Amino acid sequence: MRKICYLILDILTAAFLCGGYITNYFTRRKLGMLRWINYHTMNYQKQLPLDVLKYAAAAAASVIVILILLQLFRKWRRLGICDKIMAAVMTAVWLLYLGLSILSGQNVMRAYYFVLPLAGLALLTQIIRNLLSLHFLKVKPKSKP
Amino acid sequence: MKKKVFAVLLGTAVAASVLAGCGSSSENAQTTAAQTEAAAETAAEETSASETTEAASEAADKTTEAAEAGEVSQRTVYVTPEWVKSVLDGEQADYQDAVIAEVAYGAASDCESYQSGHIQGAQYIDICEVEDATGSEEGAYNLLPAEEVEANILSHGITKDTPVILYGGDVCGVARVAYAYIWAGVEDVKILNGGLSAWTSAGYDTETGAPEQIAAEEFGTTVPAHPEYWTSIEDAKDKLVNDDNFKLVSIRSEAEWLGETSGYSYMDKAGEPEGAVWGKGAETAFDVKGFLNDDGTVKDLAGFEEVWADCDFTLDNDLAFYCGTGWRACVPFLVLYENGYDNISVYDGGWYQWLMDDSNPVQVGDPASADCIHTTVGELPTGKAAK
Repeated sequence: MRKICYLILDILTAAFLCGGYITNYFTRRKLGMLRWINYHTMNYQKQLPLDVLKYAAAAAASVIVILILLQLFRKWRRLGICDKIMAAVMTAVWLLYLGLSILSGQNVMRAYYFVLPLAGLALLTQIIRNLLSLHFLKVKPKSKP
Repeated sequence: MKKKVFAVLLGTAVAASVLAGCGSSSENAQTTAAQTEAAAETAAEETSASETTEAASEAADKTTEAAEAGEVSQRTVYVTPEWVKSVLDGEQADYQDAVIAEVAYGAASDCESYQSGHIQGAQYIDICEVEDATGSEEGAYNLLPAEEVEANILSHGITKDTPVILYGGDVCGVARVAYAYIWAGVEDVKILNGGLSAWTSAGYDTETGAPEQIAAEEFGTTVPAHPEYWTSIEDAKDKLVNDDNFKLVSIRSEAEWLGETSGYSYMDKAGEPEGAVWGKGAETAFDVKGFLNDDGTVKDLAGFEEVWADCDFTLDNDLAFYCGTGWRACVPFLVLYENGYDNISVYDGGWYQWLMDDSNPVQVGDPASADCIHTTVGELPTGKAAK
């Protein structure tokens, strides 16, 4: 059950990241896609304070990731190799999301407000995955000396 | 005709030589000469038939090639592959410093067509160098501000005096850039009629790799040199009401004209500006097939006049062409431009910009029919975006 959950979450992470790449790829190559993106982005900008939401989400995600990493470092020796790798993956996705939130924008990437949420969802799945990892560490009995 | 003339001349020459050679008027000699003449005439007809056909065909080919590769006027826009080849071969004296470029959307590195092979020496021009890419209320996919267009033109080493030859896979996209260049002030803009497919069909080679680009410093005139070729939405609204000779000509598909669809995935409402007339030409929002020949080349003026035979405007009207965002409208503009018409322009904003103001008057349906609805943008139903 645990491994199935990990696998599903890892696949979702990959899917969200691929989705963001593909969205940006076709926006650069297809004028119709660019204009569709522009139309929906303008509608979202009229309805929602996108910049405020962007920074708020980045701040909240950063706090959660840092707390998770601190917990993981405390229990580093009990972590399996896969858990350590996924902690590194979560950190990488977090840095990617942070970079997109702070350093990028619509003038750099026309599909920005479509790519950023997909990167956020990828980070969210990794947060869940690492939270599960911490949870299973708690329930797993410590090995006897 | 040529075959008969040749046969008659040959027959006459044979007869004359026979008569001169024999020198007598005996009946036998005359009969023999007549028989010889008839035989020679028959033989001449038969044997010269294939030779004359072949010679005539070669002469016709050479004449066609010479005509197609001959000089063209500065205002001529659509040119043949043979003419472009003659430019590349240095046979056109006034086009030694011509800039040739492939036109498409996006970066050069993302353009598969350009990367896989382009005409020798061709640069790459992104359509977004001349028009807004954001679709905002300020930009509306219209031509960029004059200083930006000028800077982008100069980056390709093009001034007002530089002959420019454009080609690309999208007839409307290439027309868009050509129109922008003419509006800006480039005096000699050509489009390879039929695009790269016509070039390769003519048997000419392509090459890969981007040529060196040296930017020019001074354009040579104030941009835009021809502001009269660009009609703003304000001017279009004013002239529709106050100028009886003005015609706002819709270059959109029948479904768009009748208000069945906007034609675009990013326009939710369908209709036409109140007072517009239909100029046909398109089957969808992304083509001008009605203005193209079977081989994909753009029709000449006679072809356009045939399409417009039953339309509610004439070439004597002041014509402003429009479509969704100004691409399809540039094709009829260029054809009329190259035929010397100056009472023409492009209403750049198209249906896209017309939709931005809820108070803009709209007609939905054929204005000649009783079913036509006259309303405003704000009252239009949504859900008309193309799927």
